[in-house]
Amino acid sequence: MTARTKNMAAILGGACAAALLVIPASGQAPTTSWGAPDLRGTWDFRSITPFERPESFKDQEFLTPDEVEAFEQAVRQSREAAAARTDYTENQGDVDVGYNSFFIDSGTEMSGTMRTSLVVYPPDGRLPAMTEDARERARQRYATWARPPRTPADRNSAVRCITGFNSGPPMAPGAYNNIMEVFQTEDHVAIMTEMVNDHRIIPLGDGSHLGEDMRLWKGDSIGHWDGDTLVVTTKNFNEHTAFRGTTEDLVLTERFTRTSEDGLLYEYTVDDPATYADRWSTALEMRKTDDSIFEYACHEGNLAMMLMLRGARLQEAEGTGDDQWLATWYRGAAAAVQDDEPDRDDDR
Amino acid sequence: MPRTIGFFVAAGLLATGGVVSGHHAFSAEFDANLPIQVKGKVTRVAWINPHSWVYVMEEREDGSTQEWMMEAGTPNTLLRRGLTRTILTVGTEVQVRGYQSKDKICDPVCRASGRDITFVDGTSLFMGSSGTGAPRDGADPTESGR
Repeated sequence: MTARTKNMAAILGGACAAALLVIPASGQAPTTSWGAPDLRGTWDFRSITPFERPESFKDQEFLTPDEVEAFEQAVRQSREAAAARTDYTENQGDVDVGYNSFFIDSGTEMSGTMRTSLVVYPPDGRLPAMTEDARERARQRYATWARPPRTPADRNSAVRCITGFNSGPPMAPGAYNNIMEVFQTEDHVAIMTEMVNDHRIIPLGDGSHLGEDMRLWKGDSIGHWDGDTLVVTTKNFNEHTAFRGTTEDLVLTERFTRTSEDGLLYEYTVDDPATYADRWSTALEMRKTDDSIFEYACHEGNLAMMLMLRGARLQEAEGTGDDQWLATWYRGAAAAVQDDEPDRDDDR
Repeated sequence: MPRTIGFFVAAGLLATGGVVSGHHAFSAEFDANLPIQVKGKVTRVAWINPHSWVYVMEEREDGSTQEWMMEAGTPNTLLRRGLTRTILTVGTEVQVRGYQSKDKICDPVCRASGRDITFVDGTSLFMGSSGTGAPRDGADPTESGR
């Protein structure tokens, strides 16, 4: 029985009422030689489960196995259709497709949670409304990205190779490099993501976070065990990290629970009243993999930044310009914060 | 099953649309008004992150040549799918469609996005009927894990 099948049985057997899914039977998950739940290994967090619940799933929290299969088939078919296109015309959308879809590695399966969205709270699977202050910050952010960059600081942290677009914290499925390795001792857990080779060394125990004036791109993480679950609280972000538009006061709580030999339930909660009217949470089942984490060396090979800056300087010298600096995938969110609709589009 | 396949297709498209965002906005680097189509032989492949680059020496009808660098995806994906530097070896004849960089600089090489890469026999690089055509692209349900 695969991890997914076990989850299906658990969920369809009535576990739907549980707030956050599958809790392993006592003793089922592997333990370390010192008796702690064993989270070590390399974990694959690719998933095609939508981040927010699509309108088409409106009141449906979980999918049946048939529905999961149909959804995955639909995604495969849509990708094949896109890959087979040869009639594209010159426009920004085609430029943003970037390159052959072979290079995209966002997975072919929905999460083993069997949910219609990664967002599990609020119960409708949609992010809470953004505050007006957050919407104004978003407007400024998109305005910056929509114009030719004056300096590298005018592009986001992923373009600058400072943080990965999916490497976290929190880890979130993206276009590629959705893989991480966990290392563990009695008093530390370390997480290494392939994207940008970001790593976090997380002390376990009841230590205190850094002082208020110490601000880090990935924040300051401290962990503790809550039964079989590793709970990691991260504070002290800087104002530029802005995961999904959050402020430096974001309190991020991640929960790692080994659900089986091959499964790791990963949940995180975003709590930032200055940005969202309510906290919100996601759940995703990572899968064990035998793959190795490869070197990334993002900054060393980041020719894209050079080309962007040179393009901007050329337009400056020529007195020309264009309105295509903002990627199409941000446009929905950028438009949403201009009107009365909450910002609900993908924006990392 | 209460819903039709058509319903799921719509939902599936929505799902894939949510994960295409990558390392950078291609439209900030390349110019939609500068589409290019380059024929020539591969001279080098740079397996570097965050994007690999395929070098092609364009052979123009007037006999002149111009080298291009075509931006492609992360090499980690290629490795993970079982492809190594034996693919796209030096001398392979290809045709690349894409968009030139906004800086338009061609000294010493022009730069562009590699939207589609096609071999001389007409097959598109990595495009198979049931998936991408790569050895481990996830299209085969019998594959285990990655």
